[in-house]
Amino acid sequence: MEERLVEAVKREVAKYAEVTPDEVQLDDLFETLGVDSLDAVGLVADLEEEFEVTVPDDALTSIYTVGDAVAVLRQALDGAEDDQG
Amino acid sequence: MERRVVVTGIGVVSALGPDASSFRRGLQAGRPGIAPIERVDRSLFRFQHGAEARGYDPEAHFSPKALMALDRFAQFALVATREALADAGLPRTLEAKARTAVVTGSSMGGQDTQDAGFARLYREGRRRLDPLSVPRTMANAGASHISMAHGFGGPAYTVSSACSSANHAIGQAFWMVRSGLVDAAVAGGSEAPFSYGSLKAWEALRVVSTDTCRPFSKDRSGMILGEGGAMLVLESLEQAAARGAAVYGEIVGFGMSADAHHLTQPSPDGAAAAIRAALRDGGLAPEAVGYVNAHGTGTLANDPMETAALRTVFGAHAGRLAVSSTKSMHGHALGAAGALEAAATLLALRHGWLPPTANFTEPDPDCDLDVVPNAAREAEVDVAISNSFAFGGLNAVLAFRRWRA
Repeated sequence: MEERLVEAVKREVAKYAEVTPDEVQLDDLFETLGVDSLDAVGLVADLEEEFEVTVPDDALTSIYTVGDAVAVLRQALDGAEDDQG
Repeated sequence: MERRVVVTGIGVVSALGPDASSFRRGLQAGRPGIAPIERVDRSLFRFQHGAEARGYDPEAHFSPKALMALDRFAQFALVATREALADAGLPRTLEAKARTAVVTGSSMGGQDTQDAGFARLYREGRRRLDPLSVPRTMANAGASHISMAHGFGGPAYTVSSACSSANHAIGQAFWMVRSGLVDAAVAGGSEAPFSYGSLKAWEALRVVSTDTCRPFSKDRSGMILGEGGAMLVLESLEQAAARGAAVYGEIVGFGMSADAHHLTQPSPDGAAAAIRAALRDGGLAPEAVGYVNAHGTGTLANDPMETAALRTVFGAHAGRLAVSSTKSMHGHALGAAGALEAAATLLALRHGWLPPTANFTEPDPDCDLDVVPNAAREAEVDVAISNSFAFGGLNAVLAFRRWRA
């Protein structure tokens, strides 16, 4: 799952940064990539849909890097699994 | 002292082609851009024809990322603006951009986005919408994107008055430049009504023709919806002259009125009041007018009403007016209609020919005007007006004067 998650985040970030997924690193800042807050809302929405999870509004403000986005999504996925358990 | 206001740039996306020159050629040839609708499944409709901007290719103008934020109607606004600005060659200093206004017209806003979003929720049962749904749908998207793309920091807003939106927009921009509030303005309108829900709403009103748009003809059977956008660059004559800009024509008057009468039945009194107001605003005698770009929707109600309004205002001179409806070619583009027609009128004045009323078959005694049937006519006209009369009874009329360098 972790690999799929990272791959999906890189793919989405690449779309908004207008680069290829290979060029996106986990420690890249959204700001450096030219991904603004509106882009972040869009890419998180796409990922919510893909992984069928809900990312809370306040989690968005803690995303500065690509890795942060992966972490936020992982947390949402863990929460969803807990709910099922 | 009031300043004179000239138009120095024109940009158009329409059913007649993706730019102003194809628009001009289509009008001059009297060639309707009306064809079987392609953007929705027309087998689900009573009417089959529309004036879609078939020659328009979004990818030719915008990156995939830019398109994510742009409804089709905002794309039209931006593309028309880009062409108009390149045409005008406005000064690009920070100071000049801070004194440039942007006023756009839109009747329905981002219908494509709204329609696709609602289909997702109601038909597909999904729970989430694209986060850009709101900024894509907002009716002011055109004005906002234009100001951002070109750095225009002056007054910027959108007017929504159905089929009069663009005339209201251009008229207010004209007044802002004339009064000295700004030195220049981008003004016009754009509309993209070819989505399933929006077309179904028009179908329900029973005003769309099942064949084509025949304004002022006895056998007219309704309007044909159109899409597209047109933008004008307005400048004070002072600025345009100082930089030696080529001028299409002068905007000399703007008049508004409300019928205060009925939601869909137009009133000749309201229309006449707006025409009179435009003439008064421009200090024009009725006899000075040579050409009228009519609202001319081709509906049973509009055309005799408009004829009566013109007869009321112009009296015997009405018989000497050339009156044509270019909606017979570019369709009724709603919030963009007045902008397409302002462009058509300015091009006609500048190039010395009047665009025809296409698809004309036989005269209607209730529309007994010289409607320039089917073929453009060479004519040197000094003053022209362009009418827009909206559902809800909101009227806006612009007056133009031919430019003599």
